[in-house]
Amino acid sequence: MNPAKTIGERLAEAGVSRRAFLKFCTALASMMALPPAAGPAMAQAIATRERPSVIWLPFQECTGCTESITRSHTPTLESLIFDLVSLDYQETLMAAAGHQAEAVLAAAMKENFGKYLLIVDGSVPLVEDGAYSCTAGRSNLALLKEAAQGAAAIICVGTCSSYGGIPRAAPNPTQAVPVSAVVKDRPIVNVPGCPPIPVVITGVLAHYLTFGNLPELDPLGRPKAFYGETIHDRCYRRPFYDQGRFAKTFDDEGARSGWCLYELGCKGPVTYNACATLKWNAGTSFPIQSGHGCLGCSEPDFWDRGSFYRPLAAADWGSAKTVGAAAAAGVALGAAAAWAARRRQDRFVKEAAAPADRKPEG
Amino acid sequence: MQDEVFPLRFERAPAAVLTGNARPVLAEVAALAERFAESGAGGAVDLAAMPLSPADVDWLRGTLGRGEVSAVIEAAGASSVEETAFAGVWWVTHRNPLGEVVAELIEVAAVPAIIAAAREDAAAGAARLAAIVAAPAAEALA
Repeated sequence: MNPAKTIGERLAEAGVSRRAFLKFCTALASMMALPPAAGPAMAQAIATRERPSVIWLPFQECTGCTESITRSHTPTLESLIFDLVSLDYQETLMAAAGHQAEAVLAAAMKENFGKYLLIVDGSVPLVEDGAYSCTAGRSNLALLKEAAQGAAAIICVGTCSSYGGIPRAAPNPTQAVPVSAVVKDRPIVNVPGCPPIPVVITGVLAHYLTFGNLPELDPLGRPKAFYGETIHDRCYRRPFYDQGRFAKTFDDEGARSGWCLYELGCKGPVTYNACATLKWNAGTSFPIQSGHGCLGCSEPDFWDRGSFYRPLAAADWGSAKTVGAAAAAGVALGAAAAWAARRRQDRFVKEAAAPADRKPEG
Repeated sequence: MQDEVFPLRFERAPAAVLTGNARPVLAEVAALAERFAESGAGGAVDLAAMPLSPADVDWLRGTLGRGEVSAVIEAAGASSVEETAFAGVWWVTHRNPLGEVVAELIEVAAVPAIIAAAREDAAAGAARLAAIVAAPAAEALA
């Protein structure tokens, strides 16, 4: 493979027309909550980029995150983005096995030292020197420390690698920790969710390809483009919340009429994720549209925060000030939605105004 | 009916609810249309940018109606472009090869961007055409 080859050349080689690529970028811009004008700009930027090397390491996990991506509803988007990058190691998907696979990993890390993107799913157990989760006789802990050294950035896929997830739930027998507890000197992007929405992973990669840097993050290390708003803010049932119409049981008139599930324990008001807009299973639905409250699976310690069916107490709303304030002031949905739309614009304008940051890393 | 184990009733699917979010989208389209008519500068509204129920989308589609032009672009799945009853306001739907919608926009322009041929593709096409022209006459005619 010629390392100087750009993505544009690669696309032409694969017979992908610019129309197809523009369409791909339009869909990406939509997913990343960028204004529609960003699509053509992205198409221009990505085409001139070189293909980055990607190494994917699975640690203490259930493979649900990999399942989420490989079963994703937009196979063309995912396959196209993974064709644009060079996915050098992913032990679940790659054909090579055993010593051959480990040799590929070692070679990829050496060849692209300082430049590769490291994707991690799963938490890292610390007890007994990390003996609870090993690959080829090496602990996840040792492998992570080595792989992180040459990584331009680390993308944590799923709640486990982002925040510890279910392995870290009480009583945490393996002393599982997130990647950020082990690696302190590399940029880390958290893409939480149990599992995360597959297109969010694609979106982070697309951002890296487009702008040559990592997306803007919130205080918990999540890309604001996808985790900037709560499920509640973007929920199509939000108007019923504003009107005070709540389902009281899962089979009452309110539930059948699609009213707000707040009183049935929905964690939407304190959960930052994109389920309400991107949805799941071919864009069919998301938990609330299917009649069940949000579990809050993309938040730290979601498993240990009491019953999924206990309504949120007022005290739990601390992190969702905007929603709380809007509800208290009786502001209608229209205003809240307009505020959200304005923020999308602000973000793009800010990124567009900082072209100096768009140089590729390494 | 007495044998029914789960007497589920679906009197009103939640999806059939109008949320009131479609009207602001329509206002945004109206503003774009006005600007386009005055200055020629268009724009687009991403329908994923607002929380819309399926009923909201249907209402928008019905209100905008259908115009004179429609086109299908076969590029990594079918994309459809349909002019609405308001000239210059286009309903653009991008689908993947499985037929699933990957993006839906209302674009305000003389011609939606996806229709135009790109210079890069045109360059490759021109090269192929030139090769045919340069080929020996007998072969070219065969």
